[in-house]
Amino acid sequence: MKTVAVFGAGGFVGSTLVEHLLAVGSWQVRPCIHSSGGAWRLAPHGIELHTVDVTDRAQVQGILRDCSHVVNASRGERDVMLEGLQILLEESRAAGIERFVHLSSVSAYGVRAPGSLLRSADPPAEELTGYGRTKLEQDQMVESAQDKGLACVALAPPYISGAYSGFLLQVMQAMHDGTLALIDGGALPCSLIDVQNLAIALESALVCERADGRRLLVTDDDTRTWGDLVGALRALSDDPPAPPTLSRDEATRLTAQVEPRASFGASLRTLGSILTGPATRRALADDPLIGRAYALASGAVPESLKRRIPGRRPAANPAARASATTAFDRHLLEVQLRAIRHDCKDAREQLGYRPALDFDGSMRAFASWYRATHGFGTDSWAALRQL
Amino acid sequence: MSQPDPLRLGLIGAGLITEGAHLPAALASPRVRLTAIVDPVAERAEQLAESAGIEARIASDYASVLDDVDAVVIATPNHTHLEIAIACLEAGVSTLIEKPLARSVTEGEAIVRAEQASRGVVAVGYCTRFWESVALLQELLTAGFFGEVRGFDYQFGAMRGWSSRSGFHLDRDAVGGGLLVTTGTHFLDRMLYWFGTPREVSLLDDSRGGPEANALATARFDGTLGAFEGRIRLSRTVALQPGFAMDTTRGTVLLRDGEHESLRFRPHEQPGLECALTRSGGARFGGDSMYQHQLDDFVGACLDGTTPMVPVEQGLDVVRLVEAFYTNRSPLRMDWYDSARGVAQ
Repeated sequence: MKTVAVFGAGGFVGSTLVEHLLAVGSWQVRPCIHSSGGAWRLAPHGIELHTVDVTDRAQVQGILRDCSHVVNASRGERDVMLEGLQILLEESRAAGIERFVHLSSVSAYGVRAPGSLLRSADPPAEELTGYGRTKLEQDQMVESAQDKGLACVALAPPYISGAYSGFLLQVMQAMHDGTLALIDGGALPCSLIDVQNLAIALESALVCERADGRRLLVTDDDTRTWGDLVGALRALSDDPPAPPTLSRDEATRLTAQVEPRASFGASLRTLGSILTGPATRRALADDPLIGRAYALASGAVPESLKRRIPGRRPAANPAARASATTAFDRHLLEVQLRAIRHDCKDAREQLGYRPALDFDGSMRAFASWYRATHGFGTDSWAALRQL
Repeated sequence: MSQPDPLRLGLIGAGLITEGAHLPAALASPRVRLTAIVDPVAERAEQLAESAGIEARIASDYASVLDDVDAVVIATPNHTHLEIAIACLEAGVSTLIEKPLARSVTEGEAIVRAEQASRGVVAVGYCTRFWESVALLQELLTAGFFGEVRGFDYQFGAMRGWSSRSGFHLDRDAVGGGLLVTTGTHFLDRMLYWFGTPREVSLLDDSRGGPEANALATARFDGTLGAFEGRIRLSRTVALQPGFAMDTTRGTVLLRDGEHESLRFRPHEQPGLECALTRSGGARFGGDSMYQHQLDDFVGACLDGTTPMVPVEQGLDVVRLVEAFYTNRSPLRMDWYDSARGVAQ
């Protein structure tokens, strides 16, 4: 039986992959975790977990001994991600690893024109996010390792759904907080991959020669809309508020970025905003001495400043709040505006990738997980909501 | 009248809990002189002594320091508690044992017997007993302030856990269980303190051989406080707002983990009203950290002969309860995808 070392096994994708491979039963799995505190999801299996620092060459060498395959699903700070991957690739080559599968991301393709169809072979755009730049550099390292003789495959998923999905929890939290707005009534596409489908794709990549040297987009089969997603998630809320809708123009305006320019005035304004920010003011008000002086002096404070004092802010007008930039989760607006569709035809053809779950199945898995682990719908849920 | 000599205290185990909790408490106590730090990795013990600026005996073997101490804090992996505690007690050394007391009732009973035969005393490190809100709730329940209890819920959930230096907490044998022990015993101890021993318990957990990471425990009570059921949800894979909600004939009591100074009470007769219950005349456990109160309590037991807040018998009660839960356990289904695949395939 082949032995696969999974780095980042304590994470969302890594844990799912390890559980999938254990269930499949045709691999010896060597789960590599960064720290024991983050590996609880795998602990119930009673399998040996290896604590490995990927930037420690000797530790990596020790782990790769007797392994035939490697999956890298580790994450971390930029420096660690780059240095760690370099060591993993070099030591995998030295250890004669048969195939190295790297978890990339669609962010490595850069910021695309809204509404585009992204294909696996597309070159990266010039504009990249910080994370996207790191993932692209990683992909280039993987490509270079392939050139040096290590069989490598990189898989690039979009946002990941399914059980344990942090992205879906983020959308639910935004709905709960009233900070989620849907663009065009939720009509824009929402490209996802269920984490179980991703595990299946990773397993396919471990054994498929045809994809060597390639970076492949992997998604669910069916691309649905943000309206579909929110509709499914609202069923997991007690009082599901209907998210407000924005036009694309409004959303574009709200998310428009102004590049900060270096200037003395701007730096002073930044410093001023920190000193007058709510956290600073609250800390000052909490100090027994400063707080008392603050209260005594408040009679001389202009009304415009009083409104900035914690606890004295006038009640927010919901209508005004709905139109303010800060009322909405900017990141979720940006994700919707991209409206990118991902073509995973290459993954189907070259990996033989066949997703096991469609959107509805994925959402059922998430709902099942959410109900069981959060207690949604139980008597306890109602009691503990009061906290 | 001269002051009694300070207690010569040793710290056994120089891991994170010692560094972050027991050492600062010992250094802040005027009734304690820290005389020894022990760790299998002696350099680690030496680093702690250096960082604290103290001259203490450094050793890798606890047996070698027993002549230098009157009492010790045992902050080592659970599977070592029995051996160390018995050796200390046989030498007449009092012990504050980090929770849980032991991995099993058999081990716990051996420690109880050793204490009975020793001049030393044992306290168990259920530090949340020293939250003001916990003590206040116990007193109000005993006084019948809330009427009859109808039921309670407790939950704790965090996506990451304590990363012990040894990593022992993911070893089911070393721990004596899983999440129910590593995290849950703090609440189980509070539950026993508040409500007494349950009549019946059951457990659903996700263990498939290793330590469970998710647990749903149910305890049924039938006593002076009423006949009621308590439900406990513990998770190390999802984040949950940790806290306690209790329904009584007079109202609802809410206690968020982290809010330790008072209880929130919502009387049924006054919907919309929430009162913060505090003790007039000052808190019993205010100001200092719970670890400071815990150490002060232990030092008092050693020097003044008082009964510690959590004596060894109560530590054993928690171990008994844990065993009862594990005896009545059923597997928690975690097969989210088995039913979800239906339509897709």
